[in-house]
Formats: sequence, structure tokens, C-alpha cells
Amino acid sequence: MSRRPTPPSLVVLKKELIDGVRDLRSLFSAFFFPLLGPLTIGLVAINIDKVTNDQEIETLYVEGGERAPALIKRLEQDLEIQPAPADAEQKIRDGEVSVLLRVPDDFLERSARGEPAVVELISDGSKPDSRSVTSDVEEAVAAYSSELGVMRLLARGVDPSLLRGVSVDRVDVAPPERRGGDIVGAVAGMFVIISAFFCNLYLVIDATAAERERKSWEPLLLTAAPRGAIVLGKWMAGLTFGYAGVIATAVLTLFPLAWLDLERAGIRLLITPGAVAVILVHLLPLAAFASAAQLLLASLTRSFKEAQTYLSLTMFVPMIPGMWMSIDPLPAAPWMMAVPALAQQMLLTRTISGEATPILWQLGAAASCMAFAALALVGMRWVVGREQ
Amino acid sequence: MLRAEGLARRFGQVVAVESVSFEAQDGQITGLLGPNGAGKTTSLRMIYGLVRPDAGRAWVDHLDPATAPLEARRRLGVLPDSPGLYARLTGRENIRYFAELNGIANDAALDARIDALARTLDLERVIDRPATGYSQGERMKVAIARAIVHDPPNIVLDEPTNGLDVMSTRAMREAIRALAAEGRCVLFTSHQMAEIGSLCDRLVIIGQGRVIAQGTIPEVIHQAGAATLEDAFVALVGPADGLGHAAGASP
Repeated sequence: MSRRPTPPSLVVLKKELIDGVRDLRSLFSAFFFPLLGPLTIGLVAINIDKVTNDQEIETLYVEGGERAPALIKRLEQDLEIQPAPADAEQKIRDGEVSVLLRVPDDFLERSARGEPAVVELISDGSKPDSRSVTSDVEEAVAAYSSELGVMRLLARGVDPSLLRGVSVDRVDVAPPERRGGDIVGAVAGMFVIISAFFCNLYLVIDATAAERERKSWEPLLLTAAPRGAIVLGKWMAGLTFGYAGVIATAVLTLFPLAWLDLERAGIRLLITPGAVAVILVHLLPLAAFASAAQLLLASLTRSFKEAQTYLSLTMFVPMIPGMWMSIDPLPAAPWMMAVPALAQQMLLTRTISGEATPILWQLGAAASCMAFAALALVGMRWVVGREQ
Repeated sequence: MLRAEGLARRFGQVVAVESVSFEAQDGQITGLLGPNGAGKTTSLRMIYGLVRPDAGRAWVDHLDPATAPLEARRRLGVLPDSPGLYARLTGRENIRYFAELNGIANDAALDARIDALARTLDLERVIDRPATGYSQGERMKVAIARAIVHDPPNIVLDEPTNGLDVMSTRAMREAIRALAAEGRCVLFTSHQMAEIGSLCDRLVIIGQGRVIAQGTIPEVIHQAGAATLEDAFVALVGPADGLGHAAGASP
């Protein structure tokens, strides 16, 4: 059995991958990180559930409801109306009943005379769940009261709009999927983008600074493998770990978002397998850049600790676009496509928000990442070729 | 055949190698001797093509490593000082990695060659274990196997018996003799006079960045007018000089 020799870059790739898979630290950093996204989203999901649970229809007990049929009809829009049990006030104190609305005997009489009619709202203010019911009732009573006032003015031939000084009309032009998408997309996108830098971190350090430290660097350079092939092999290994992390993080972070009922929170995201596939295509050049840039940086250091320090510090840089955009969503501009990480953050957010991006922008983002990656690799080739 | 022709190299203000010329012949064991900081490692690095000479040339057979580094390295097997293995790879994987990097196909013939090396170096018991559990001697022997697995005609061993126990040292010496007997050019450095005396066909003594003496062992002893090799070495290098230089010079 005689085989052709394997190209040296592939020999290096294979060795670095085997070494990386056997290194618990590399493996842990590559496959623990993708779990952080869904964990965070799980926390968000619990909170959204809490918020939406509060909006469930609550019960209001009414005493003498037959005396104010129009008011009760209005209250029925938001609350479940139940006739009050006997001894209702005591039951509120005991916490068995949360809120009681009492319509006094003279309600109709006073109304008929055009006097302000009074209803009593009885609750235990120290119980948090009673507050949303009381505020619902107050709103309904206020609305009913102002309707009644309008009718009375009209009956006397007065224009009711005279009573209104200023009114506010809110106009929000953003479609609902954009507003929510910008923020949720920024945070989810940040996770996915960081994974390109984080998941290959230890493999990259192990293939450079740690190789110097354990003194296998000089023997490696004394083989007949071209320096460029060694650089290329290490880069491909870093890219493999980084991109595997990107795929895992994107799948584990984005799909749970699709399962959450975010629309109840006014957020609509377009997370389909197709959209995730598009995002993964956008992130391949970023993973290529991340691997090259980190290799260059790590090859400039002399020890594992030094490399770890510098690389963890630079890890914050690609987080900036995501953090910025979750606070202040920037309008996309063509120049942003030239900036690695920022471009991918934009593309990702736009993709899951259902916004189209010009194809030229998409190509520009990929081209820019690849150009920076090539530059970093040339830089590392120079570092490796330098005299020791 | 390895040859240095007037090699010179300075790092900043420090002259590491002033002028080194010697030749190591095929089929012979050539010892490179010198106090710490005399310029041995820098001279060797110029032969490997890792450091460019300011003046002079190095030859690996008919190749100049400064202009044809890859071809020169293919004909060269090097055990550098303090060689590191990949701890998570087995001995066999460490050796195979370097074989493949030197352009050897990963096939049954390579495995057979690694088995033969393991037999020669008494590594059969540990060759398929991760290198992390190796003793100093096992590490050194795997590093040697790694350096010569691609069957290079020229071999440089920088202190190959450093840190080895008696049995391993003996096995290593046998292996070195066998390599030269196969017609290879073996150049090695050591600080142990007894080892050099028993192994070397020829001797090159370096001090202060220059070659002080070279020839067969009797020639060198005669040249120094001494009785033993150690006396000759001390007479030629001078103890004070050696220390003074070591203090002033970097690697």
C-alpha cells in the first residue's frame, strides 16, 4: 500500500484538530459557549411568560351590578365579572377575594339627577395582584364617566371637544417585527458573532504561543514543511473550531427564539431554517477573519498566559456593535459592511427582522472579512519566518 | 555532509559567532564542543537556516539553507536543545506528524519505519501511549525518532544524552553509532568529555565565536600539548575566558 504524501497544510490541520479534540480546555470552550445563548434566552422566556401571565383575565366581584348595567358591560371587556359572595369585605381581608366593586343603592338616582354617581372599589392594597385589577376598573370607570359626561353635554347642546385642551396621537412607523427584532436580534447576534472568536480561542493559543512555550515550535520549523503551509493548516484548524461553534451557537440561540411567543411582547422575528442558513453563510467569512486575526495576535506572544490575556481583552471588540445596537439601533450604512463583526451584526439583525439587504452590501461584507483575514495570515507568515 | 564556511553573526552589539568554519563528513561522528555561549547553537541555527549569517555560508550536502531552506531541511534531521513533544499525541503520532511534514506518505511503510525506530530506541512499550506520561528519557528518544524518521543523510543532535539515565545513555550512543555506520553524517554536541572521547571520529572546538581547534581526538590533544581530552579542552578554551564570555554573550 503506497499513498501520496498529504499536503503539509492538511497534515497540520489534521494534527491540530486531533490535538484540539483531545484537549478538554479547547473542547470545553468550543462547546460550552454555544449553550450560553439558549440559557440567556431561557431566562428571557421566563420573564416574558411572567409579563404575559399578568395579562390574563382576572376576576372582579361586583355587588349591585344590576344597578349599573352599562358600566358592567364595559368592565366585562377586560375582566371576568362575578356576583359578589356574601361577606365579601371579610373575604378580601382573608385574601380569598382580590377586588370588590360595590354599586350603591342610590347609583341610578344620582345618575338620573345628573350628579356624580359614586362606586366603591374595595381591595387590599398590600396585595400586588389586586393592583392591576383596580387600575383596570379605574380606567374603565374613567372612560365610562367621560362617555357619560359627553352624552350630558351633547344633550345640552355643548360641543364636548371644548373640554379637551391637548390630545396626543402616537404614530410609530416601525413595523412591529423591526422594533423588537433590533434589540433581540442585537443580543442574539452578539452571541453568535462572539462564538466565532471564542470557540477557537484555546485551539489558536495552543497552536501558537503554547507551542513556543512547550518548545515544539523550533522542531516544527525545522521540518521541510513550508512556513506558509504551517500557517495555513493552523488557520484552517482555528476556522473549523470557530465555525463549528458558530453553527452550534446560531442553531441553539436562534431557534429557541422562534419557539418563544415573542409576538405577545410585540416582537416578530423571522427565524426560519432558511434565515439561519443565510446567517451561517454571512458568518463564514467572519470565522475566517477571527481565526486569522487571533492566530496573528497569539503568535506574537511568548506564553499561553500572555496570549490568553491579550486575546480575552480583544474579545470585547467584536462585542461592541451588538452592545451598541441593543441600546441604540443604528441605521445601516454602506461603510459598516467594511468592518468585520459590525457588518455581520447588521446582516444578522436585518435577516431575522425580515429586512432585505442589497446583495452588493452582502458581498462587500464577505470580501472585507476575507481581505482582513488574508492580511492577518500574511502578517503571521512574516512572524513565523522571522528569526527566533 | 555539513559544512560551515566563515560563518559570522552578531545580534545587536553582541558578536555571537565571529568566524566558524568546519566540515562534518558522511559516515563519521563529529563532535561540536565549546563552553556555554561560545556560539555553538547560533552556528547550528545558521546550518538549519533558522538564522541568516552576516557573512559566510553553510552547506547541507550541496545545498545552502539560506537560499534553499526546504530542500536543505529535508536532508537534515535535527534534535534541538530541549525539544518539546505534543503531550496529547502518542509517541507514534508525534513521529508520524513530523514524517508527514517532511513529505512522507502516511502508509504502512511509515508505520513499519516507526516500529523499527521504536525497536532500536527501546520505545516499543510506550510508543502508543500519550506523550504526557513519558519519562525524560522516553521524551528524548521519541524526539530523536521524530528527527530521523524521514531518513535524512545528515543528523544534528544538540546534547542528545542530556538528562538520560545510564541505560538510556548507552542505548542512545549505540543508536548514534548505528546512524554513522549507515553512512550518515552525524554532528553532535555534548559537555561530557568521556562521551565525546568514546563516540567522536572528529572534534571541532568552538570558543568566543571562533573555531579554536579541530581534528581527530589524538590530533586535538597533541595540538594542545595535553594528556587528556579534558585537559586539552581547558587548555584551549581557558576557564576564565569561557566564563567571561558566557557572562557577556546572549544565546
